[in-house]
Amino acid sequence: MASTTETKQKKMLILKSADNDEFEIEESVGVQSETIKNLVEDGFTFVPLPNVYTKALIKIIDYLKKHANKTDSNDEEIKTFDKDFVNTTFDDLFELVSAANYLHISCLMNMLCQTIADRIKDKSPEAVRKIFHINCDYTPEEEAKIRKANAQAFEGQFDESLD
Amino acid sequence: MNCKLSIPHEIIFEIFSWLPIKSLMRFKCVIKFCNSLVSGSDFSDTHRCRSSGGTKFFLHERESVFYSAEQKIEDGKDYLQIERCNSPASSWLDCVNDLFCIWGPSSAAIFNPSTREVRFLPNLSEDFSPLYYSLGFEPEENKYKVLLTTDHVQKGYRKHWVTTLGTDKSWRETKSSPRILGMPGVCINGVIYKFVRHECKTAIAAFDVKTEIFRFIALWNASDWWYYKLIEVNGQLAIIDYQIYVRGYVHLRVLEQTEEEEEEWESQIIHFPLIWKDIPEVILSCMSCDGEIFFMVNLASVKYPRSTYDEQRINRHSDRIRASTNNTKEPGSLPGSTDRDRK
Repeated sequence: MASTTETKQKKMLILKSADNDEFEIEESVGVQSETIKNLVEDGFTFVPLPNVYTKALIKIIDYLKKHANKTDSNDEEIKTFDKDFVNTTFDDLFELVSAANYLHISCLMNMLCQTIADRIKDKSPEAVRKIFHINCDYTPEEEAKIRKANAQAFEGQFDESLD
Repeated sequence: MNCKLSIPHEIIFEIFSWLPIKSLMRFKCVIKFCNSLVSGSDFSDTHRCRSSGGTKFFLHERESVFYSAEQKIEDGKDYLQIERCNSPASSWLDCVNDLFCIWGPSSAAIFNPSTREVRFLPNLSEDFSPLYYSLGFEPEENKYKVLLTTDHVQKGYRKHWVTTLGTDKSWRETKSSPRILGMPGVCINGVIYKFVRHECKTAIAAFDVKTEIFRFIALWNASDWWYYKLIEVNGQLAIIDYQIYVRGYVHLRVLEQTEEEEEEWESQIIHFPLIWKDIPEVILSCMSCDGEIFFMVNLASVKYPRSTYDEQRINRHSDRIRASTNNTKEPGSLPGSTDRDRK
């Protein structure tokens, strides 16, 4: 399994997802992740990722490959790629953000968090709870108090949709 | 229950740090964690770095008229949007970082304009009349403190009190009590600078926010201090001396450290655009931010008394003037070199 490439070929890594699928990628692509980089520096070429599922890992490998080949000329192409990359459901975004956080890929992390922030910024608190799958832990009185203290932020209409 | 994946708090932190202030205020009521998150200082620091624009400048006159200026970028052009703030009658203000201390005759509060949160400061006993509150920030321990000067007219002395924001519930008296003057000061790298009467002269009192000890700095000329304004220039203490602005320039004096570990006031001249030359009583206020000095000017002062000048005109004409040295005279245009360029 873990084989150190002594040849002049590109160094390769194997990533193993939480559902036990294995993916071979170039080391130079993988080390954009701080987590992978640290393991590589310790001599690992086989990287198990128990927190990252196959579906998210495939997308993240795509992202890393695209961004590893960043030059001045393909700037537009990468922008289009990024735009498509984040054009997905909230649940997918959350899965990706958890993976990016675990893998410590800061540019991806920032892009995903900015996208989510942008998509929730005009929503109501109720919609945000549903999107984040969290239950309100305030009593009605406590919530009313917070709303009253921040009354200005509740002026106007908010987006109740969940996408 | 959390039926699907639950999102860790560290990820909520990251996502929320990209939200505009108004959304943050609204999302405080999502869950308790969001409320404590938004109020935390780690979060505000991250949020401040990530939010573009925001209130950057706060200009104030000697009396209770305040303006906030927001730097905005639209269609690739950046401009300043200036708004008049409605402040309670006869209130005063002092600021450091993005935090403001605002006070009237009977009470004082800390105001955060980004979050619109107000917290009142501890009360004082009644026989002290508050003269001036100065807000200080101590970067080493990341603490904010308020220095309060109280006047005891009958007894003919002044006292100074300190409270640490977030921890102290009352005021404690400082060891020494110089005669600090009730004028705006400035806080630079954990030191509050204020004008003071010291040994029968006007000087500057430097109050170390961490140790709470005063030291004194002499002025080059202690007689015309009423026209001096303390500001920060590249992390150094500086004074704008604008009593001679009628002639189209002001003096900027920066407190420099000499090689012999002494302090010296170095003088420079800032020229104003020629279009301002015929306007008497130009400067209402000035402050520095990110290596630039901003002047608020009153272009309508000929017709209007000071307190009722035409706000619209100010909005349109508040040009940015950059500090320039003597040798960069460019008649007819804005002086070009900034403080940063000079470095």
